[in-house]
Order: sequence, then structure tokens, then C-alpha cells
Amino acid sequence: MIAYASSLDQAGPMTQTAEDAALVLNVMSGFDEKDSTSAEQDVQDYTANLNDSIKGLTIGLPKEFFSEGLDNEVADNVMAAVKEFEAMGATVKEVSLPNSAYAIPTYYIVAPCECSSNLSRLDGVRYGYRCEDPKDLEDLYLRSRSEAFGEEVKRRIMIGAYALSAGYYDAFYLKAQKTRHLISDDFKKAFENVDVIMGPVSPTTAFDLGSVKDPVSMYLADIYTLSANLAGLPGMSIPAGFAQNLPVGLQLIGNYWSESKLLNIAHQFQQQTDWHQKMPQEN
Amino acid sequence: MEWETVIGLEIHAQLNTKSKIFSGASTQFGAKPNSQACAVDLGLPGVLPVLNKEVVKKAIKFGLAVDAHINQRNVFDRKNYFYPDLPKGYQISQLDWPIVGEGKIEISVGDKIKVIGVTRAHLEEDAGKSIHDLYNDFTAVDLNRAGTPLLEIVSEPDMRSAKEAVAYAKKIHALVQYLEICDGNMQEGSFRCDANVSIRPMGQEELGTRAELKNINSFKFLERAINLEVERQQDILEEGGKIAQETRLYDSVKHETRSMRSKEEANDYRYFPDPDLLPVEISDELMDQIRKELPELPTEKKSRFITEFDLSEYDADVLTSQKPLADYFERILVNNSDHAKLCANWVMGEFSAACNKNQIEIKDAPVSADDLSLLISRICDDTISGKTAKDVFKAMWKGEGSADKIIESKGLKQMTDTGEIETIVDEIIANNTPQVEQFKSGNEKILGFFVGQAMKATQGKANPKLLNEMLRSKLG
Repeated sequence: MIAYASSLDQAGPMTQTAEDAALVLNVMSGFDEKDSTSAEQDVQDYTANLNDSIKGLTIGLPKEFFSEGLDNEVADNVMAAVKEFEAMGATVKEVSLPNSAYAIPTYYIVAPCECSSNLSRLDGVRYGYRCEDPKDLEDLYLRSRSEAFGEEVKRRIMIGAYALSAGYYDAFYLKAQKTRHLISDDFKKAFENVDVIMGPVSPTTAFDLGSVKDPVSMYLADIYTLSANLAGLPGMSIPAGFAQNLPVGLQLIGNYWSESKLLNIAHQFQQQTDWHQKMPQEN
Repeated sequence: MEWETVIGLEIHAQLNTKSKIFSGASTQFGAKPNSQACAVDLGLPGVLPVLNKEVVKKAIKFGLAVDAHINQRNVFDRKNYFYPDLPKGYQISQLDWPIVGEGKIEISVGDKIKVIGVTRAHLEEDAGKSIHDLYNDFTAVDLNRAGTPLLEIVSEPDMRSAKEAVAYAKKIHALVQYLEICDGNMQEGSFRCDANVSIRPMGQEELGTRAELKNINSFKFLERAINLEVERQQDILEEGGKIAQETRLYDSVKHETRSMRSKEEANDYRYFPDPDLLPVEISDELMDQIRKELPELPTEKKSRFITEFDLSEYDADVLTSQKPLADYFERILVNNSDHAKLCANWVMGEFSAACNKNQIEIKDAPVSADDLSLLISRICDDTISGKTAKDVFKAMWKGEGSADKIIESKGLKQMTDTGEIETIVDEIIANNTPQVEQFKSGNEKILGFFVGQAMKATQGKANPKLLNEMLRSKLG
């Protein structure tokens, strides 16, 4: 894994079923002595509790995830999935994540700052792309990086370099780190009352490739998933229906170290439903 | 106008760990270029730094030795800038939370003792080396040094002359060697000094604009570079000019400083905490353990030399100025414990002079402490005189063998046979009647003449004490 935004980067399996995800996670997990941020903790068997009953489970629905901007059909699919859990014996509570509105601005400070530094090593000196006939060192750096990085990468490098520069650090990076704490605290509070948080993965279904030109609109598509990433919580997306013939995802967010519980919840859902086996209809 | 010089030093001490600060690669000096740079040092994509715990211990040792506050929670930051010998595009260093906080150290200049403040000391990784004169159109990069652990020791602007700056630098140099955390080799770059120099009208409190002097690799050059810079600043200010805040490179060959970059050209390093490393948490247990393991420090050693061996303040100061010298002295004392002053004189005199003259480090000296110890024993047991011993020492330095071997082969053993000495004394007295008369009429000084004659006759081998006694009784 190549570092993009170190404090947010995380490896996760993409599989067809929750059970497969558990199997892959069993192999991937564990302490890595060559990664100082890796927790020295025993690996659980993530398949062990897949079949536990979820009767009595308390589900939290953050009101901020169901407000303005959420596509109606997406909302309907998510609520139908929640009903399915209620049928399995779960109860539902409304929770609040008041600082989740800051997730996007926070993420778009933290990630570009770290990325501007992490991608510095791609400078054309030792490996990777190097421009033709550089006339001096500065030219080598400027052209190698300008020619090889894509637009969005360059945008993020520039935002990050700007936010870290003298006089702006406190206003941007430091403030973003403080906000990150507030977002984590929201979750901590919510998990005092619920076992799992559920909501939509994205406010709309997938848009056509290239149809969204404005980067900010593009960033807004991540509004519901960035909070868990910033807080460092395990999150999961499972197929939960179709809207306009496009897949809708249900997001599960668990407390720290609750991967096993999340997989159990997802697996139980997939025992009752078959969304994970369905494809969009061909036109 | 009378000016006051204000100097602060930034010292980079390379910590003598076997492996690098964030990787397992060796730190050995002088290996084939790029043979000691692993994936982490090369900044390959996908690798992460892991802190070498030894560097933390060594930094704590230093902090405790300068009476500093140790930040038991300290943080590594990234200092971002582009340069071919900086593989990651950033240097891992410490900005707001260095491991060592405020401390102090005593220096002596002439007969004055002064306390210099240590602002902080932080851990960081070294960069690689750019070699510009190897190829015509290219710069060569050697990354063996990349990732070598450094402790950057920053002083307060407490020094008021080049001499004080040198005394402080030497004191830190001695200290890191005492603590065995740095080999102190300035030629190989294990100990590097940058000097921040400014001047201000005497009596003014506000500091003048400073210039930072870099590329100084000896104490001699440190003194020269500072004096040169002070002159340059005085000339500018006295002609009504202004000092530019800048970094200047010292050229020891041309004996000049050149502007390297101005404040405006300085990098914006975009520091931020390194997300790849957790803050360092130092336990109370580790602090206690290191405190217990702390070796005897120069000031403690000095007091002990004074009380235990009855040495003068001056002798003890010189002997403890460098750990190798103090060790050498103590090693000689093992077999000559009743003759501390004699041993001190030999170490500070003949031995140090020979080292300086030949520009040899103590560890490389051809006369080891045990060799010299034997020689001193031969003075103490009256085998040879102190004067003869100096010749024996010269022969030992040239590699002619042990003290005993040289004494034996050159026939330098003192004459201690009273009969033999008596014969010679009698002869000298018989042949020098006028001088005998002078002595008898009260000219004590003439005794030296008889001693000289006797030494000449015995090729300096007569035991001086015996000879003196005999002369007095015969002339009496």
C-alpha cells in the first residue's frame, strides 16, 4: 500500500459476501512491526460470530445522514433495509452526529496536507517518471511532477502545500485536527446508546463517468463516509437495493474493534436478503 | 562605537547507534556509496519508518547531563523540502515538542566560569550526500548517510566572543563523548557546528540581525569564521549599512564567508506532525534506568581528581577536558597510585605534546597508557631519572620497544652502587680544588657544578639523590 493520506489510509477487503470479507480480513489483520501506527493486538477469528443472532441489537440512525441532499429513492432503500433488521429483532434509535457537517472540509484539509508530503518522493530523481532533457534541477522537479500527476492529484497537492505553509498551518491543519476530535467525540457519545450506526453510503446513486465536473460536488458524494474515516472507526458498505436501476449501499459503522460484530450483522442481513447477489437490469 | 558580539550555536551530533534512526540499515562510515541504504532510506513507495529506541535513550542521556527538562511525550514532525539527497522529500525532525527541553552547561574561558543556556535538543534524521565534482554534467547522490540519527543541540545566544563559542562547542564535544553517544569525529562530520552571529552596540538589549554560518568542521575554523563574520558585520554597520538575515557558507581555504541564501529565499518547510509515527512516550522507569546508568560526567570527574589525587584545579580541568585523556591518565595511575602529580605532568606534558605535534588522537598514540605507566614506574623505583625518562619516551614513541627494553639496550639504568659513585665523586673533588674552596666558603650554588661533573662522568646515570647526599657529606 502506497501512502496517500497516512492518518486516513486503511486497507479493507472488497468481496461479494460478508463471509468472504471475514475470511479475507482473517488473513490481512494483525500487528505489523514495520508500521508504527499498527496496534499490537491479537487477531480475532472474524468468522466465529457470523451466525450469532442479532436479536436485541440497537441500531442508531444519525439524523444528519437523512437530511437535505439525500435522494428519496436511496433513502427508501436504506429504510427498507433497516426494517429488515427490525424484523430480525433489532430496535432502532435516532442519534445525532452534530459535527458530521464538518467531515468534508476537515477531510479535504487533512488528506491533501498529508498527500502533498507523501507524494513528494515522486520527484523524478530516483524512480518513476522523469521529464525529457531537464535543463536544471528545478526544471526536473517542475516538469516531471507537472507532466506525470493527474489534475485531481495536483489540485490536492496544491491545497495541501498551501494549508501547511507558514501562517496558514494553525488556521487549517491544526483546526482540522481539532474538528477531527469533535467528530470522534460525536461517535463516542452515540455508541453509548447504540451498538451500530446505519445510514446511506452516498447521497445519490452512481453518476455517469465524467458527468460531474466541479470538484466540490464530487467531494460531496463522500459526505456520509468520511466521518467514520476521520474518527478511525470500522465502516462497511453492503448492497441494499436498487434506485433508478443502480445499486444502493447500506453503510454500517461500528465502534472501535467491532469488526467482528459488523460482519455478523452484515452476514445475518445477507442470510435474509439477496441484494448482494443481484445485478442491475440490462437496458 | 563599541560593539558586543552575540553568538548562539546549533550543533549536530551524530548518535553512534549501529543502525539508522528509522530503519535497520547500518550507519558505518565510509562504505561503498548507496550500499547502506535500504528501502526506507531510499524513500521507496510503501515503506514506513520505525523509531530506533536507542536514539531516544541517547538523547535522554544528553538531556540529563545538561540538567535539561526531558519531554516525556515528544513528537516527530516532517520538514518538507525538495532536494535530490532527501529521498522522501521531507526530513523527519522535531519542531514544537523536542525530546530535550531547556538545560544549561558551564564553560570556562580563561579564569572565568560562565553558564550557557541550552535551548533544546531534538532528534532528526540526516540527509544523504550530494557530490557535485564527480561527474561533469551530473551530481552524484550517496544515500548511505540518509537516515543517520542526529541530535541537534541548540544553545541560547549566550556567548559573547568566538573564544566563548569555541569553549562551549568543546564542552559539548567532550560531553557527548563522555556519554558515549557520539564519536565526536569532526572530519567525518559526526559533530558539526553552525553559528548564529550578530553584533549590537554595547549596552543595547535588542539583538542585531544575525547571519548563520555553516560548513564549519573544526574548532579552529569556528573561531576564525566567527571573528571574520564579526568584522564583516562591523564594517557594514559602521558604514551605515544593514545586515541581511541570511545563511553564509564558510570557506576555510579562501578564509571567507559567502552568502548561501537570504531569508527571502529560505524554504517554507511546511512542518506538520508525521502521521507515520506515534508521539514518543518515555516512561518514568526508563528515565530512572538511564539516570542510574549515567557515567561520571566531566565536572564530577574533575572534583574527584582534585580530592582523590590531590591535583590542582588546573591539572584536573585539563585532564578531564576529554574523556580519552582522563581515561589514559587513570589507567596510568593504576600502578603508580602514589605518584598522581608525576603521572599528571607526564600526561599533560610529554604525552600531550607528542600527540599534538604529530596530530595523533590519543587512541592512536604509539605509546599506550600501559607503556607509559611502566616508564613512570621506572622513575619511581629509581631505575632511571626523570630526565633520562624523557629520552626513553622519545624512543618509545618512535617504536623502539618497551621502556625496559630501551633502558636495557641503551644502558640507561641509573648507577645506584654507592661504591662506584663514591670513586667518581672523590675524583671530581680532587680535581677541582678551587670550586671546593668556594663551596666551603658558603657558595651553595656551586654544588650544581659538582652534580654536573658527576653526571657527565656517568653519562647522566648517577642516581641524583644518592649523588647529592654523597657530595654534601664529602664536601661538608
